[in-house]
Amino acid sequence: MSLGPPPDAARRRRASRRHPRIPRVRSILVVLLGFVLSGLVGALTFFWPTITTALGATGHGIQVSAPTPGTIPGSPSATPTVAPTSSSPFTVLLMGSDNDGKFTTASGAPYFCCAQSLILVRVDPAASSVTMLSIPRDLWVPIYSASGRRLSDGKVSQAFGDAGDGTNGANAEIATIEQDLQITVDHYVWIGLQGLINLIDEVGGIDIVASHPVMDDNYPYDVAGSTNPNAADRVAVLPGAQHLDGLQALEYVRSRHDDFSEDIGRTVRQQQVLVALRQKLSGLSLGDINNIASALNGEVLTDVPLTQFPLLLGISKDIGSGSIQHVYVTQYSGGTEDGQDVLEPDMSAILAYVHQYFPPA
Amino acid sequence: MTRHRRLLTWIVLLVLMVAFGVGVNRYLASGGTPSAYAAAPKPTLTNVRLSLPGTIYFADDGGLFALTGTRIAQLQPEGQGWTQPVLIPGGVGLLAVKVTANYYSDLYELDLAGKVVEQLSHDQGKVTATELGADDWLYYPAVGPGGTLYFSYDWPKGDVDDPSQCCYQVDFSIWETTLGNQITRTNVQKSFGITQQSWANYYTGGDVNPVPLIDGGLLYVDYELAWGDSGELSTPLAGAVEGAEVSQIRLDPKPLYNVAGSDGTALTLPQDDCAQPALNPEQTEIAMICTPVVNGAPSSTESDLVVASFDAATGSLGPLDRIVTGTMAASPAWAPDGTDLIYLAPETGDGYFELWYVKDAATSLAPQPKQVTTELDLDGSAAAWAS
Repeated sequence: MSLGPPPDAARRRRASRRHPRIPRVRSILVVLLGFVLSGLVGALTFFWPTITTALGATGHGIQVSAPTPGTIPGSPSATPTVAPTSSSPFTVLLMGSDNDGKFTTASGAPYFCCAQSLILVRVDPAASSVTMLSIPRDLWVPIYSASGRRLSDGKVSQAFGDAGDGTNGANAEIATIEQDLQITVDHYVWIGLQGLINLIDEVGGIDIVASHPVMDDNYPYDVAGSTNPNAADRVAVLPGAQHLDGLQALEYVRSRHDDFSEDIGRTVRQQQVLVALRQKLSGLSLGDINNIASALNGEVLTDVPLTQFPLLLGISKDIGSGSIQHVYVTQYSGGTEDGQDVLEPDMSAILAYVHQYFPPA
Repeated sequence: MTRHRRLLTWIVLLVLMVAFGVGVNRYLASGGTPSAYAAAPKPTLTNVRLSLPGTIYFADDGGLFALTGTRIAQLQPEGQGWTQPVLIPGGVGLLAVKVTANYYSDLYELDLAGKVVEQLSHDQGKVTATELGADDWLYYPAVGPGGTLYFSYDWPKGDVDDPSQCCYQVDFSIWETTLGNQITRTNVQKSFGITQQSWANYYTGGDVNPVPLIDGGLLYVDYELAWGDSGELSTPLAGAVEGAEVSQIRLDPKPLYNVAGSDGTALTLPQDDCAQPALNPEQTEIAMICTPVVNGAPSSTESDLVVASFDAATGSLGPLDRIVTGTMAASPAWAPDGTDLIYLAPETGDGYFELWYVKDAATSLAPQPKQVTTELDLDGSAAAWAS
């Protein structure tokens, strides 16, 4: 009959068996970590083009300096860049324009004419509401440089072009709108014409209800491979429900010649297409990210940091189409300045109207 | 475990880790995470949820298709610009428009199998940068009693003789001829048997959707400015911004005796923004699409399917019954027996138009729309329902 090892020896043996478990647990953790890291590297290499595109397009901060004191009564001070939060309201300036430099200056340098589309968007996450305000591009107002310096008077859209390139142009446009409308712009998003086409094509087109036949025999044929900036194209978007691809959607929002009021008609359609596009993008899946980033490469600029995009997408999903208010600056009359047809603003009426929706700075 | 076995184990694990990383990469690259924006499949490969009697002709992605029961047959291939198929009375054939994008559109007659019988209109222009206004859009064909053909045509254009101004004003007007007559720009005059039946309001897009009446009258849709310097509407809509437009369905009881400036009478109010009229075979019920108007602006995200009784003799409509709301309804068409309706609307809140069905549309107290097709993305043009 065996009495077994003495108690001390048994404890030692048990202890010696326990020791190998620590390296074993550590080994399992190391192996698991290795798999996780390997998977992350695999995903990272797949999303690398998206990451580089996103880093290149985002975070272009607004650097508008304080205006010269006394230039405009009640003019705002230096623009604070407010990071979107889950509850605080913020204002975004959406700009759309061509960026292919198809026009040149007298010296032959690329000339970026202007922001073809200017839409202020006020987002109130707590109230789940959005207000979109279109500013007519021909509104004749004081123009400001990106540093807030008062320049000459001009069409509000020309501030974008006066600065000479996309990034600085955006800052000049923001400064002009902030000073003239006496509001604060927290963020901006700029998209090129080709970028809009690419984005809408990438999401499979958009479906809208066209309010009337949009006809144009003198539509600018300056995208989709055209090399002649003065070439014309023909547009006919029929009324009612329509499925539009990217090029058709651009035609729909850009055509103006058969609109009785020219620019205001297309600003209404621009807001309509943005709402349809937002709805389509709300179904975005992981599998679409690379393709969309590729479609937008070089065609989008924004100061919104990349890290804020998940929050913005979340806010966007929470806001139904019925909670979007569409408003338009219409307090103006036709006029002529420097040989151009312009819209002469009734500034006091415009400010009273704008400040109903956008708090004064 | 020997040292060699341990080393071998680690090597195998390392290889597996690398393979896992590569696998994740390839999984993502192969679309393992499905795109939310996958292209719509060919209509012939989609599932049809509901079998309806007769045959429904429709256009999708520039092709023509026929739905019989639950089977979709292809009549013309996609990408060819086909749209707006309509039936020739008696079910002897189809008319359809073929669009050459950004240039022009022409009208064709086809048999019920989709074979082209005859090209009925011939665009004469060749668009170049210096030859503006030379091409034309022809849309909305409709055949009435005795083979009378109506269509919308963007001629005459404003300032077509002034190249520096051409062509800012391009609006549809409604024209009439006899089916089989050849339509060219030089032919669209009375001496060639092609007469203008409506005069568009300038800079509105013009007049569309002609619907011939049994007694020779004509319904059509005109677009008017809800507010503007020229005051197209006698009473501007409250809250409308400059240039905003609304549509009205008009009745012209004697179009063949029409004269410039005679637009018939409006059947619907501007604030109802109604368009796309479709009459049942007896022409006693009208289905149409009316857009909710808020602050003088028609909704851009909603359009309602509306039914009303119609009396051609007195030119009057009954109360508007909005039988489908809260969606983007479009292009209604009545069943051959005049009881049920089909229309187009998105499957969900937005996008991807499918065919829908409403039983007893004119009489049901609580119509229940049922989705007919799936996975399509119809182009919004009307479907035609044949027995």
